[in-house]
Amino acid sequence: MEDFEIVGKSYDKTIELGAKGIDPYKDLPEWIKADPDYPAFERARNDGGDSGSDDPRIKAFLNPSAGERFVDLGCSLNLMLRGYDAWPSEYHGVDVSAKTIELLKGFVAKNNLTVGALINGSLHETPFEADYFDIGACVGSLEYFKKDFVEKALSEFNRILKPSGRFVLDIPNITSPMRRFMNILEEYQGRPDKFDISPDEFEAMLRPFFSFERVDYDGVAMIQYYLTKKEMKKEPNKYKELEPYLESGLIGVLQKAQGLYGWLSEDLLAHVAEKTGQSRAKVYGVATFYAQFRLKPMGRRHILLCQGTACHVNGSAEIEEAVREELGVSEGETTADGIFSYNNVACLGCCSLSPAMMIDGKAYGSLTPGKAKAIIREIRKEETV
Amino acid sequence: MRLSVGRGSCGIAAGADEALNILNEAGLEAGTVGCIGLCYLEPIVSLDGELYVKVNKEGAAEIAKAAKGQDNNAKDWLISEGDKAVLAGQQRIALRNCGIINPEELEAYGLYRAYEKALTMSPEAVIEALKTSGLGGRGGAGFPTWFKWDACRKSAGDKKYIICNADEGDPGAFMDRALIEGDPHALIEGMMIAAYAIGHPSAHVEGIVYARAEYPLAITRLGRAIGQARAAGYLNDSFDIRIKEGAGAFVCGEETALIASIEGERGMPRLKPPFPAQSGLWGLPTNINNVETYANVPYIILNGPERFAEIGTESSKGTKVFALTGKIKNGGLVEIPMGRSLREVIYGPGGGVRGGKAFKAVQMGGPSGGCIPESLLDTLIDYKALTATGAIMGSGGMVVMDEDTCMVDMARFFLDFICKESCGKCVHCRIGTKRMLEILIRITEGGGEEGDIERLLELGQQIKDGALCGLGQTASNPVLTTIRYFRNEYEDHIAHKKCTAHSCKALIHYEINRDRCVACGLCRKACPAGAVQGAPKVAHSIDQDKCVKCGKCMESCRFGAVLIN
Repeated sequence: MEDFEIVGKSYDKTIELGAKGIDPYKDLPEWIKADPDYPAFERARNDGGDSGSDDPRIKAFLNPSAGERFVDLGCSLNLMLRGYDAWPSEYHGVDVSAKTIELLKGFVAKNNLTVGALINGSLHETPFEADYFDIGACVGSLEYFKKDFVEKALSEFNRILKPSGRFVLDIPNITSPMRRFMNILEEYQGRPDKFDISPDEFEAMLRPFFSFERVDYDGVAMIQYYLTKKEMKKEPNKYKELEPYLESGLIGVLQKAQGLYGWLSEDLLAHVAEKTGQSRAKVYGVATFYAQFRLKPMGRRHILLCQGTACHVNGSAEIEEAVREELGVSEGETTADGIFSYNNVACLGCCSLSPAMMIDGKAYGSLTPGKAKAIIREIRKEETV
Repeated sequence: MRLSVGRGSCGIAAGADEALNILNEAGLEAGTVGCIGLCYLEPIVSLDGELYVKVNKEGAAEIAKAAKGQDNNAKDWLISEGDKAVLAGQQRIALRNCGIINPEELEAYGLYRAYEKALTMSPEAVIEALKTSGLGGRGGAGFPTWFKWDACRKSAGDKKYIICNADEGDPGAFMDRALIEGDPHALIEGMMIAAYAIGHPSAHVEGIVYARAEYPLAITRLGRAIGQARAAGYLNDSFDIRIKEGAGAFVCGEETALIASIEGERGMPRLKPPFPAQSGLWGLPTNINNVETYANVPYIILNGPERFAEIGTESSKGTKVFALTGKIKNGGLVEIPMGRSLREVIYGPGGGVRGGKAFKAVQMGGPSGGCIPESLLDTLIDYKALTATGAIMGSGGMVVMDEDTCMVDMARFFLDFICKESCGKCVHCRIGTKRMLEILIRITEGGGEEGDIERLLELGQQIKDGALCGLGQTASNPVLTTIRYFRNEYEDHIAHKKCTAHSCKALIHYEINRDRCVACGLCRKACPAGAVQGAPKVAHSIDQDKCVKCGKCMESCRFGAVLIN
């Protein structure tokens, strides 16, 4: 199970307990209460110093106003339990617990609230468009994840937040003495902390994208960060090589783009759509209609294996088998070392050389399985030197 | 001394550039020519009118000596009398310059004399000449060229388009590629004459060549030729030609789909009328012809339409270029006068079936065409006669099949192609071909059921009746013709689970004849699946459960002990 799925399941359970009126942090067993660090934890909780979502500083910093979009990533019960429903901004919640989302939908329906979206999913892969939110928060969530996930999550926060957008998040301070006790506590809740990044390292990860202020909550070994997304200069040079060709008709633009950048990424297709004034759907439709366009990264060397009639009659099926065997990939894929990508094509028009293939515009004819393999090996040798 | 190297795509792939380097390094100036059509003899070097074939490094060195007048063994590479006859058996009009002149130089082509002559005639007279010549569209259907030009001329408008369809999509055809690579100026001149006929200069006419992106050399040479024609003043602001690279879609060979593609849309055909001559590219009058059609035009204008019309049959005039491929001995391009029989082509310039195998069928017209059996080889090359067989003239692909080709598998191959290339607009084509393909796959994998043939015939007829465009309407032809002429093969697959061509893997098995086996162990070593059992001095056998039917055992056996059933 993925980390976020474990967390989801655990919160599903918390919801069930909550329905029965049980606060899992309150009714702790005696052996935890006997821990020497328990009193400090208890104090922090009672003073409102637990870095929780109801910390008034969060609302003060985000300063939600009407017409703004707010995204609450993880722990979306805030809408119901922490008064977020009263914020003038439009609420969008993402929570990994299906039960939480179910509960919130019921809450929204019952109270006749208007929200932007309630989505059951992981906070590192949201369905929102880039630069969509004015403000956002991810409080009490990142502690459950390791560095690779946290990296993805930060990049996602950055993606969906507007330039100069404000965001609050918190992380455990793994260098704090209170950390030991907090780990025991979370373990007992069935969602052990996995967070493995020191504050210094985490701040280094934030710095390229956000300016920030830090507030420490020593009693619970947490740190809150108040982030402002840096006004990234829009890359004026992005895809600038394509500029002179934007008038050459959609297919011509896409051909040029593929020639320049190797393949057509989603970002590149979106750029073409914007610049040519066509809808993204149309650009995507055209890009997928024609065999020439590649929507995946290509290898440095591109193999086109002919499947024309003459090649078929002369044994192209065996050549295909040999090519697949030598490359270790199937049609339409790229080898792991990034050297080769391989596609079948209807006809190269080299029928008198059948069976034939073309590698980067050069035709190879009268192939046998052995000859095809030898050609590929030779190129691989050139490429690895 | 006249020295040149055949540098079409196929020549280059066969090693023409190596030969060229050796000649250049010897201090000789070897020119470039396009493909002469003898693809099976590439690389080809021409010295003072003599052809040297299959020229490897040694050959090139000997030819270099010959060119310098030194002692040499170049005659070892000299073309044989038999191979010379392949050229002699043709009548070259469209290919008149291919393999003869340097396609990269306008001087080699000379002045556009046909165009200049056309300018002395009225546009109506040019169209009348086309009518007299009887030239039909070489893209496949043979529709009268003059009729299209006339309709476009009569369409009112200040702006019109001349398009050349060079999106040669039929698998097994490469006439247009060789033509552009070998003689691009013939195409440009043909398009210029067409532009004049439909209304230039009183209407502004723009020329577009829609070429396959898979033909990089053709595009380069055509681009260079267009540049030369501009420099010479033939092309200018009032009539210019540009190249539009296609992006790979078979359906774009259909003219309305081609137009959609130039407009930047998905290449989907639309209903006709209106015809492109009335409302084509960007809604303006547009004339679309194929490469070979345009290449014939300068000849007709220059030599008079009567001379062209003398060649051929009542309904099909002139010559036709064919790409001979498959199991043919002399694979390559040939240009044949209409009215000869298929047999004359295949056993004349084609040299018959390769490797002494028995002829089974010839496939014509690509995915829209059909397979013609031995019994109909005396059919004449004529639009009507070929259509009567269930195949079509097509753009010129002629793929020869021998006894090892399974006709059910061929039908499956074409349906697979059509299925992938269907644009998806009509249900009949999109889903109907898929259903037919599923049945064919089932049959070739041993799951054929009684009634399958009838189901295929029924679906095939429905697709013919229901599809919108020409490609959809002909999509079932490969299946319908193979059922018509090779029904026994279908029945063998379905009823007896037998593939007599030994091509369908699911229906064959390999066995070892224990009397012939000498237990040498070669097949055991060759087997990738560990299916061959045996020990030294013990006759081997094949475990049918493990066998993957790759045929490696049969290839490796030196005693003919491995049999296929």
